[in-house]
Amino acid sequence: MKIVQIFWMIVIGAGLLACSSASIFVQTDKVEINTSVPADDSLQAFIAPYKKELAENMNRVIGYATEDLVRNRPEGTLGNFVIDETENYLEEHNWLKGKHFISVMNHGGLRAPISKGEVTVGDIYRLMPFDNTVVLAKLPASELDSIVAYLRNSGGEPIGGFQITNEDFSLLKDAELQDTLYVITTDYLSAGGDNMSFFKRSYETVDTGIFLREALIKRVEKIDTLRPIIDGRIKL
Amino acid sequence: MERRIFLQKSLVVGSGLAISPGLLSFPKVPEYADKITILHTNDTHSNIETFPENHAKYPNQGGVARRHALLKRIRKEEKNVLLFDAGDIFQGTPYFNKFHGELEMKLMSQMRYDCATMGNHDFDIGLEGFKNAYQHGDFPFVCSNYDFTNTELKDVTKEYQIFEKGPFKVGVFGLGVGLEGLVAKTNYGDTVFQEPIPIANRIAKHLRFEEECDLVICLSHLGYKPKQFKDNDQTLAAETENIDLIIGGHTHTFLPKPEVHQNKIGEKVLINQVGWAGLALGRIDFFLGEKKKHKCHELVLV
Repeated sequence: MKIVQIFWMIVIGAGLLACSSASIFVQTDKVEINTSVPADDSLQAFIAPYKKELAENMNRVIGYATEDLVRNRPEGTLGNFVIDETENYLEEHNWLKGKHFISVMNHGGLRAPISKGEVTVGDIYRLMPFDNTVVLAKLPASELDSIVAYLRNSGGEPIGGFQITNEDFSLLKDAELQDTLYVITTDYLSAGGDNMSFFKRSYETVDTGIFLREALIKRVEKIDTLRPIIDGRIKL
Repeated sequence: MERRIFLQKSLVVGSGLAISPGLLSFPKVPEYADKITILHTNDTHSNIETFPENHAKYPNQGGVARRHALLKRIRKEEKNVLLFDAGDIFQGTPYFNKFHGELEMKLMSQMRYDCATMGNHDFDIGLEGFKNAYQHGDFPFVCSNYDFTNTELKDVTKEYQIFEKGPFKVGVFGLGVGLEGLVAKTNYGDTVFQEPIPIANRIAKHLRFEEECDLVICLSHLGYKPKQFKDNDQTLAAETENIDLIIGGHTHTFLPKPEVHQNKIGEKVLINQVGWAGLALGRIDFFLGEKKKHKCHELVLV
């Protein structure tokens, strides 16, 4: 305390008498917003109807599933749905710029199945409770080997744009492997989540800021009817 | 370090004053000095509600109703308060997806934000979408290095804004990050990104010398980290002059306290950033020692 006071006398003394330039004194603080700050009632009341409408939105029907969509290894209808519709969403919104992208996501990230019948916003939230965003990564082409090895080892993850067996793998749509491998994934995996260490060797990643969940909701609204797809993209 | 340098320079003058009895009862801050409180957030990302109790990282933290209560308290205590945001107001919770930014704008108006700049995610519903949401905002956006001339946002944002609070004249401008690759082209349309540093120098000089602002503040969505981006708050600080405070965003950096950097001509400039999601409110109090007799001034940290 004393030191502070003396210090003040000195700086103010300097400010009053000697400085060729004016002084601006600065004091800083960071105020954390936690339980020590009680919530303001008026603003809470203002938010309430929005909160209610949001909750109602969870029960909104956005489409219809002809069969259950479930996760499975090596390949499952739920994983294929997530992959294919994410690709379709990005294509639709011009993110892929004519490049051949493969997709790699994770089995563990599919948190709940979609049951046959009406599909609601809440169903997609339960499938994807995490705020994962869609990431576009550029990897050296040689990393495709690492991805394939990972899939063989794990027994399968949701993938798209390429197919693999125990012996073989190839890009779909007659795409040829160039120097760069373009990959659609999530922010979680691109940061090396689930030990997908090949993403650490990306030389560029772009986080689109698009929530995977929101992309899927938009796509279900658009296609209306979900038909489970198994096309043999992974056979192990 | 900064403090020591200032102390050494001032010691001779100071020692003469130390014996003056009238000055012995000084509080922590000089009573005669006029004070302005700058409050700020960044990257609030549509976080309206307090994080739930079972949140993995930030249980029971954040929330606009709490921020509002805190702001009310500070405004009751302080005469001169300005509240700023450094961008990425949008995107992050279902509130944004459902209400397209309307609620964020309404809440910021209720909390009496004085000014904000646009972050990359504020383009996420397109320029038209931003404009629609902004109908509900009653505070200016400063975007100094986005040229919106050929877009829907022409004349919607400002190059800079000047605030007069008590005896203080405060100039505020805003810098945004490069949009290519970060934002879908369809969303930013014909927005032209301009190199931020030359623009910062031009506007800061104007604010300091033409407008005679006591404080020049930059709301920056360039990001804090030096390696991640070509331009960032640290290069901005080092390569400009006439800026007193850079309120940063984009990188979600939790600075434990504002950092003191040296500008192009060796003067002090502050950089602060308070993470994201409205988990904290940055607060910097400035005390005006001597008013406007000289156009230059020195920041003295206490």
